[in-house]
Amino acid sequence: MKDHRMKPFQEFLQKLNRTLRFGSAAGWILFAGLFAACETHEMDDPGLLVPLTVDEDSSLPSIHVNSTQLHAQTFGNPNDPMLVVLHGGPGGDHRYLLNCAEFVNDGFFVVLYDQRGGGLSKRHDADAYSIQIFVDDLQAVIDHYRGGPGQKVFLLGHSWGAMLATAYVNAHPGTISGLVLAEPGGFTWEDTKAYIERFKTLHPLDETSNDFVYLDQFITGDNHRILDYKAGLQAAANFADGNETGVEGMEPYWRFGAVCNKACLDYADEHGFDFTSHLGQFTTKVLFVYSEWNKAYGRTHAERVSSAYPNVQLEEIPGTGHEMTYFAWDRFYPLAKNYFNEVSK
Amino acid sequence: MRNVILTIILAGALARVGHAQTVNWASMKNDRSNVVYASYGYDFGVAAHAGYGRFVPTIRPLLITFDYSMPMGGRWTDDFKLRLGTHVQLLEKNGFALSGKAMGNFRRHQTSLVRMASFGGEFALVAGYFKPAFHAAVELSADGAVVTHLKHSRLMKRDFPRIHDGWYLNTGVHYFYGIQAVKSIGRQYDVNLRLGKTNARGEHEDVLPVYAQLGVARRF
Repeated sequence: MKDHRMKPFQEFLQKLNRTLRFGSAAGWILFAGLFAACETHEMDDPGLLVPLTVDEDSSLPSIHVNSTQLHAQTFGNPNDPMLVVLHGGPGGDHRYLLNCAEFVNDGFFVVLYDQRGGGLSKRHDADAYSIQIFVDDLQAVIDHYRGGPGQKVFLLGHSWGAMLATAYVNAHPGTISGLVLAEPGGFTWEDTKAYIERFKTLHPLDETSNDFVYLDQFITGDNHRILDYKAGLQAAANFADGNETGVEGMEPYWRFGAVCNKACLDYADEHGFDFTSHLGQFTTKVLFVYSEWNKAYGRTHAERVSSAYPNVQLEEIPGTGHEMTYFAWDRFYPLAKNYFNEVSK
Repeated sequence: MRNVILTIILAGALARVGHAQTVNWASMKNDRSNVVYASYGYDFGVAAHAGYGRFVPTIRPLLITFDYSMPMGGRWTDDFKLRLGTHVQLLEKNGFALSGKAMGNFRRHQTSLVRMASFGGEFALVAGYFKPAFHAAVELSADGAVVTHLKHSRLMKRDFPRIHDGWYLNTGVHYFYGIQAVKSIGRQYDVNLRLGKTNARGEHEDVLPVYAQLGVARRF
């Protein structure tokens, strides 16, 4: 009974099988022929998937400091007090912070640069990165642009940039005249790691998490350009619907330095860090801002992190997430402007 | 270019005669020449798989399969993988068997930044001990995204207008090392488990370099 019922179906399957065999063979030959006519590329061909860096394109503005080549731009009168703007990452770039050029109108000489290995700055191998090298690079950038010891220097840092600014202040507590910090992950590795774990947790059934890992089967390799491209695509998770850090969209960027980012995280995980040992000597008021929508941060973390400074103005920026310096510029700028006016007197 | 065409033709030629998930050769019967299967697990994301296979009488036991898989998430059609291939038993002695798989695949992936469409191939060797009621085996395999088309979104082009859409060669290669086990239940059903480690080409590992699948198959 069972065999009788199955016979027509099996005959159909046999016919289907023969058809598929012929069809797939013809299909593959047709596909190969069509594909031969297509133009193809290698993923690491320069300039195709990620922009050229300063060592690949001499038309980009750059400076040679501390044995590297950094993409840097300045705005305003070089004799005015210097405001150095530090982007997030590590491995990010300063494109999303170009609004900060507006501080020229407040009497600042504004310096923006892509940190070592990020954005349009020169790439380096993983062993070139340490926290100290970023502090040394910052010192070299300040020395490069500073007219003399009488020129005041201010720092404005976002995310990792705020951590770097604090590392610099901790190492040189007497050299900075004012400091704006926007959501630094932490000033110790323990605080930073806890923050990262709060927003980078993968959710197995979530579209964003699966997009993040699904990409792995399409793109592999060690080439820096390929890794940068892939990291840029995976960064879509940062602004996906429902992201933990409350980011509204994709902020402008040039290139995400994947090797730099991973090397720095590996370095921190292996060596740890503590930028708080000399912060007690920095008695100038610090403007410390955090965003309302960043669920992984919040006032509790902001109070914990900012408490390392003896004199803090802690402010929440409403209606925005971690990328507040771009998406909530209209709320961030007045706060920073008023602060600079106060500490510049 | 010639290498790519040859690889595609080779993958296609092999795929023309078939692939499978986990096959218990010892439980194959002449009156059970079709199999449908489904599995769930981690395969570059939490993913569900479903497929159909047909045993073909040749000099060696051979199974042709076609399957579809997709990762979990809110959008059900933007990411998926289709595979067409063959799984053939190469050697058998006293319950020990060695088999080979060859598959052609098509993968699609879309995010707010890019749409990827990729043609590739998978090749595997499976060696183990096969009894009618169960088998246990080790598997070694390689998976290559031979050629991938990238189409970038307006959002991506906002930041990098000169980003190049088009076909890119040899974009991804993975190696898989794992184990598989199958338990047959009655004459028609198999429950199978695959576990293993993935290695991406180069030194940079995947986000989660493992795979794990629990599945069920019905022979008829």
